[in-house]
Amino acid sequence: MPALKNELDVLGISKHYSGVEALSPTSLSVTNGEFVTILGPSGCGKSTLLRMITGITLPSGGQVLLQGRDITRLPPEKRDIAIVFQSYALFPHMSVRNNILFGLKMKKLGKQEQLRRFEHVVAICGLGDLTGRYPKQLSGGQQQRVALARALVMQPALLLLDEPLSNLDAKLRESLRDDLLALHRSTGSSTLYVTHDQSEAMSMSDRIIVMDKGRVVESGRPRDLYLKPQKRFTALFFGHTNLVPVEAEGTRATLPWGGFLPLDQAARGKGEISLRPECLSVFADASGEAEVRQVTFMGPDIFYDLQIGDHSLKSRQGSNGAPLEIGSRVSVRIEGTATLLEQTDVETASTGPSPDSPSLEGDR
Amino acid sequence: MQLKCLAASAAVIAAMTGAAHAADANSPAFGDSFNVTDTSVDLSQLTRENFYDVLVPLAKKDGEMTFYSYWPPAPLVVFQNQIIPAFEKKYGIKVNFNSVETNVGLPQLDAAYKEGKPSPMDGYFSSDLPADLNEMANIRLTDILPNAADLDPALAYEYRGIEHNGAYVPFHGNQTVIAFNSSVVKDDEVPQTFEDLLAYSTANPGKVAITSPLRGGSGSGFLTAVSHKLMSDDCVARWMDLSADEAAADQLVNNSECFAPVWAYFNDLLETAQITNGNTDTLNLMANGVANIGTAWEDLTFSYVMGNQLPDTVRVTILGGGQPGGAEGAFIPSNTENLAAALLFMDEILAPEHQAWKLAGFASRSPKTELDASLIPEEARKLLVPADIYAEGRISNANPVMSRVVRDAFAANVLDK
Amino acid sequence: MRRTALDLPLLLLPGVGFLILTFGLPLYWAISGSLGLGANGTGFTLMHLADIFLETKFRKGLMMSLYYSIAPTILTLFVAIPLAMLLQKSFPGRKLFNGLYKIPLAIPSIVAAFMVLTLIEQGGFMDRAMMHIGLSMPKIVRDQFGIGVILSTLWKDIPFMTLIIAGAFGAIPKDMVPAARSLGASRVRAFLMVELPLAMPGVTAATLLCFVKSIGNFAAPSLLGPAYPLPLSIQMYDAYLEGDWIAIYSMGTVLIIVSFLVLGAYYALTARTLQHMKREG
Repeated sequence: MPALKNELDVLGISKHYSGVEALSPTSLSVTNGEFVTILGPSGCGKSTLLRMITGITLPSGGQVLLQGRDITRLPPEKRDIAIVFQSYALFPHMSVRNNILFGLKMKKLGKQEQLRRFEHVVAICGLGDLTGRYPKQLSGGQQQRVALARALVMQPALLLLDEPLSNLDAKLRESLRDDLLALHRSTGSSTLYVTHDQSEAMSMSDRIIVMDKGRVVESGRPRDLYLKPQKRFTALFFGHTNLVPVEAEGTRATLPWGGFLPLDQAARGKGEISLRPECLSVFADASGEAEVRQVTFMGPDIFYDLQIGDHSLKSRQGSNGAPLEIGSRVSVRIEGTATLLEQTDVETASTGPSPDSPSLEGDR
Repeated sequence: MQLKCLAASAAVIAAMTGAAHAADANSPAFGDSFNVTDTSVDLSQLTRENFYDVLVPLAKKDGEMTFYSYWPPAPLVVFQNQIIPAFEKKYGIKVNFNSVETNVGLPQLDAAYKEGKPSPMDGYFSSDLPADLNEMANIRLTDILPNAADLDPALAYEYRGIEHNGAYVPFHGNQTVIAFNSSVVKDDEVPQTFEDLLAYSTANPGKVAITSPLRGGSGSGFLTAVSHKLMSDDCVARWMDLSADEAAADQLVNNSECFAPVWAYFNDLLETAQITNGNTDTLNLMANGVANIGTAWEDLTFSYVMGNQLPDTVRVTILGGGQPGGAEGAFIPSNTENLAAALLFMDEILAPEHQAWKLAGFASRSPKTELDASLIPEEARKLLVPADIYAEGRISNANPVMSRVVRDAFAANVLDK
Repeated sequence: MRRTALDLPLLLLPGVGFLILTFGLPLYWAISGSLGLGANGTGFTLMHLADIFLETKFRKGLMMSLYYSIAPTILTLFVAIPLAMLLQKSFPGRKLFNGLYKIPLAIPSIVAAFMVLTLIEQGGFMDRAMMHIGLSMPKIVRDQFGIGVILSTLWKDIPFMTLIIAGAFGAIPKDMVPAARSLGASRVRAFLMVELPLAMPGVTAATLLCFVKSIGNFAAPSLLGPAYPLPLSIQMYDAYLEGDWIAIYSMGTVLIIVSFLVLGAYYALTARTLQHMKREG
């Protein structure tokens, strides 16, 4: 049985502009039907990476393979990749209908086939009575759905979404997020999603690739990245965390204020761990080791800023029950195990890809 | 009281006797009576003999005057550096000088005249007459100014077909010529006749430049010259009839065979010769070495050579049969306030020393017939049309209506082909 | 402060009043003069206007005026559009080029005409230089096609049009062409089906401005054009020298009418093309 090819393989793609490296050699893959997100702050190189995958920019080095075929030097129109842009990029001088049909006309599909696909995608994107309108007559959310429809109708090997929800307000973003996910599940299309919003990435992806300053920091499943980050950057990127210096002895780490915590992997020497606030719970205890410095009520949760000796911690727990007061002494209970963060945030070639990224043999 | 009455009646009798010498210096140049608004000068009594005696004190009372000049090819230094300083020194009368193009100055004069205001200038050296002749003082300047005594009569009484009888006194003579580069055109090749010119052009295609009659005077002058030479005497007479109107012109030009040889000549010539966009265009082609022979103005060519815009081997000549020349002149507006000073100035501009100065300096021909040739240096003389040819070579122009009809016909019969 | 019905007209008066005075009135005089009405008129007649079409020299002059405005405009389009597109990209020396190509904008058209005369005409600078290698310049001044005139006009029109069209192309959102290409359109098809229609308002504006600007060209045809036929602009000046105001009004009015017709034709043509593109999608 032939080995199944990945939908997309990016091998050591890099880009420099007159001596400045915009993107270090980067590799990633998307397997068939997978939803992979590239996550990072602005300037991290994700747009550069994107442009090389779509073919708008030529890479300085490396290869791009689509379903095993080398498309590195192919122009965008010859790649079977459909893009949904942050700005929607709907053609203003064409109706919604003609926007959607544009790609099919370029492909020279038969009229019957065009109509079939068109009606299908209009149905699943909920564009029923909008097809006759022009982009400027649509709301932001409607435009986004048209952009999506225009991409989906191509039935591409890879669907690429470039921060598609960034231009929308929070409420719309959430509902469209759900729609996108639902669409992905029903179409089963291999999807590469780019965003700077970590909650979006976490809620939608099968796998996340975290990038910063032109290189991949870490990649893995959302849950693993959140609970067991390998890199400091990843830990800090996914919301609140406490970075605590520890002394490791075998499978046990000693906390700076005393107390121990089991480690996932044996180690020896000084290090740092990431403790999520929700892993800490506090109880009123007159002889507790910590003192409450600040109380923040967030609706369903309460955040406590704690002081233990020289260290500050943030904890988070449900807000039912009486809140503790500032200045009260508490004891802190830590749940779960911890992973030592790597000393550097950079995943160098010598350390290899992190354990969670799938191998290039595609053995899923 | 009685003395005054006597003096008055004496004056009237004198005036009547004066008037009895018909077509006399003291009669209006046109119209029934003098049209000047400045009454300080008794025009009916003014003669060449008493000119200075009467006018100098009156002019000094005016004290100041304004003179306009249009922009002739000759530089305005003729006025600024030569004539005006001499005048101011001689009489102590200040002259305000402005150079104003004819098609700007004449409308200004017209506007002032229509509003009954005094004229903006007391004298105007212009390239055209006002449309309403009464805007000119109808004084027979030619017969009154002492320095005008030797004016060439052919130039003195009529300008471009309009008979002003001396109200417009010629100042700057001009002459259309054929210019050629003597270093390229050998002595025996220099055309003497229109046929010679045609032959030269046929033998040297592209080397003859003809100014378009629609774009420059050297071209319309050339057209006039050809017409004068090639048409029958009868046709020429009808053509030169200064009283011809639109209908007569149309009849002659478009509905008779008179101009046929003219069109034929030009059609032949322009097969090989180039037609240019103006007087200076022709000279520039000669300067570039593209053309060896061209239609030109004598004074423009002169100033070009002086200004190193043409090589100093360029010479000018007039073809057999003659080429038109004329003279622009100056007039006094009828509504001037400084009539005495203006008259004095008009006399000054015709003084022999000034006329010689401008001839030597700028090939500005003098309308005076008795200008001493010795006043002109040799190096200037060689750039002018040789005196013997000049004497025979000048012909006059038809009236404006006729000229326009001829030009339009040229466009239709020659250029359009 | 309560608004009265007079407020708006009063506020508009300085601006609109100025326009009426300096533009509207002379226009009215010119048109009414050409129809025989007005101060020196002989009564309503269409003959003055008709003469422009009936008399050979005027009719040919009108053709020349149109030729000197339409030909350079079309030729400029062919240069300006690719040039505008080139300027969207980055290439070595782009900044310098961006500045240099605009230089002709600052140079008056009469100066440009003199430049052509001095440099390119036969016997001019280049001709003398080329003589050394045995070549010579073709006749482009005073020639029957007015090549020198067209060149001099082009030299000034190209930066003008390019500037406007580059602005039009630059205003197109950056994602448009990548979007079209990702949907399978080649670079050329993306240009024709997306970029050009979106830039069309700018292209139209540039074309019309260029045409209208050129129809009154005086300097270049006067210096460089053939001696006959003369465009109406030169004939109008000649008529002024002769005081023939009726001719001036008539020529001017005909130029205005013809300009409007050409503009109308252009609008009709582009509207249809845009419609066509809209349908094609």
